[in-house]
Amino acid sequence: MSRALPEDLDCIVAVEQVTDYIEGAMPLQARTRFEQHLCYCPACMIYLRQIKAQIGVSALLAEHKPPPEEVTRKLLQLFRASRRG
Amino acid sequence: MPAPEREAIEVAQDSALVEALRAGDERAFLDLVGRLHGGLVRFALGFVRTQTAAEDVVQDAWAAVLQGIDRFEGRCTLRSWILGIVANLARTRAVGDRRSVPLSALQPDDERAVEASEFLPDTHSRWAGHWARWPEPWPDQCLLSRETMQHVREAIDRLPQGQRAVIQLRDVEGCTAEEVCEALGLSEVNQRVLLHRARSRVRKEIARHFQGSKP
Amino acid sequence: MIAWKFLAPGRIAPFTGVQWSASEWLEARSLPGTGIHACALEDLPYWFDEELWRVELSGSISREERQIVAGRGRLLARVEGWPSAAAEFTRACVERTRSRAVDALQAAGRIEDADALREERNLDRLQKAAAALAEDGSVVSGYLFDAIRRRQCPGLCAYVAANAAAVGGLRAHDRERAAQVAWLFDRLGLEKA
Repeated sequence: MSRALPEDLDCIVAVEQVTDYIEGAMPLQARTRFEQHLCYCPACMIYLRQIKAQIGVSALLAEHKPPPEEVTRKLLQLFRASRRG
Repeated sequence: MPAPEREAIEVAQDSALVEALRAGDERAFLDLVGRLHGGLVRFALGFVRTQTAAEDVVQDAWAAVLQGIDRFEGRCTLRSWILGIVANLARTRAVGDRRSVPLSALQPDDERAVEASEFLPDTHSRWAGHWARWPEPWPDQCLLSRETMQHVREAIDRLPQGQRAVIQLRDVEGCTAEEVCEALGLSEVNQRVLLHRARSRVRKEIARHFQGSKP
Repeated sequence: MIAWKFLAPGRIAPFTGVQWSASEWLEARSLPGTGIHACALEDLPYWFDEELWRVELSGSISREERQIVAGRGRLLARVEGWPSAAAEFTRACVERTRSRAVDALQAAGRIEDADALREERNLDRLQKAAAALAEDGSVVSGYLFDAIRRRQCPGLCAYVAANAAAVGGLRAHDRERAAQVAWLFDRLGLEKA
């Protein structure tokens, strides 16, 4: 809490809420308190943006390589065998 | 689009795909394999030690998928079902390969997103609990460099098993929370805790990387 | 009803990222949150952003903690004086905080320190003086230092000023927030907008 207004969110508490916030898993009052904190705390706003940017970059790591031909062949054999009988 | 709606669409698309697979449609099967295989191997790598082991696990998983496809009820997405099969096979294989106890079993219950030392102590007369120094903003382009992306990849791979599994599926593969809970047998809350810790650790790594590369 | 709303540049809602149309109604149902959020006058200093708009709300309207939540809303007009008035706003926060620091020092019998603080015309020197007094135990001077240091950020500066006032109790805090609202009302001509 800030010393003078103890009911306000600390940064040390706010950073623990970031995931719940991004997930939309907070009730209105908690979400409002969190957003208010961001309005007076550029540091936590930076932190939230970093997490969001990180999530964005993580998505670029998804692998779209198809399997090697030999694997595909094997799997196709499996498939045909499984559909027989 | 919100996750529940996305999921509903995917489940609907799934049922057409499942029908095709049951009917022996090879193109549908190859399409599915092409789409998922790479991600499944990468996912399996979070449990087993080697690339070879991961590929073995995934091939076994496809066999199990084909054996079970007639019984698949469609209450979850096809992808989450397949991921669950991979996870179970990978865990079994990891135990068989005598991989060391996953670090997740040793993690403290109260892992912090950011170390307490980054914030002002209770003794501060005005701003106890606030950032001692503002985090440095990351310039937009920096994150997209190949080098940084490699760091993110490695940071994810270094996570404890449970955290890695969740962040790999949620943030890299784009699975919904529900899919991940289904695939890994987690409650929504547990899934979120693991995701929170995983993201926090990765963020720390990225911050350290940017700090390290400063002139 | 008429209300106010802060948006990020380009009419972007700061938290949902949704872009508001220049004039069309926005329905709560189409948004990820629970409703359209807007400010009553007294809420303004809690929600600063680049653009300030006068908005109209309708549908189910409820008063929530420091905001109004409505079923639908639309932008009416941009408040022209914002954010160009931001520097003056924070300067006013600094000055009120200075008065509080001066009063606190006087109450503590530190008359010379109080006078020096009150007389200092140069902002950089004022910041340094406030820092020194903070080191020396004057908490309100510490807030003055913070307010000057953070004068580029209206939300934070206003928050610092509110904290400085709160050292004197909740009523003093409320008076500071009311002073901030009154400043915006007068300077931005919000009743005419």
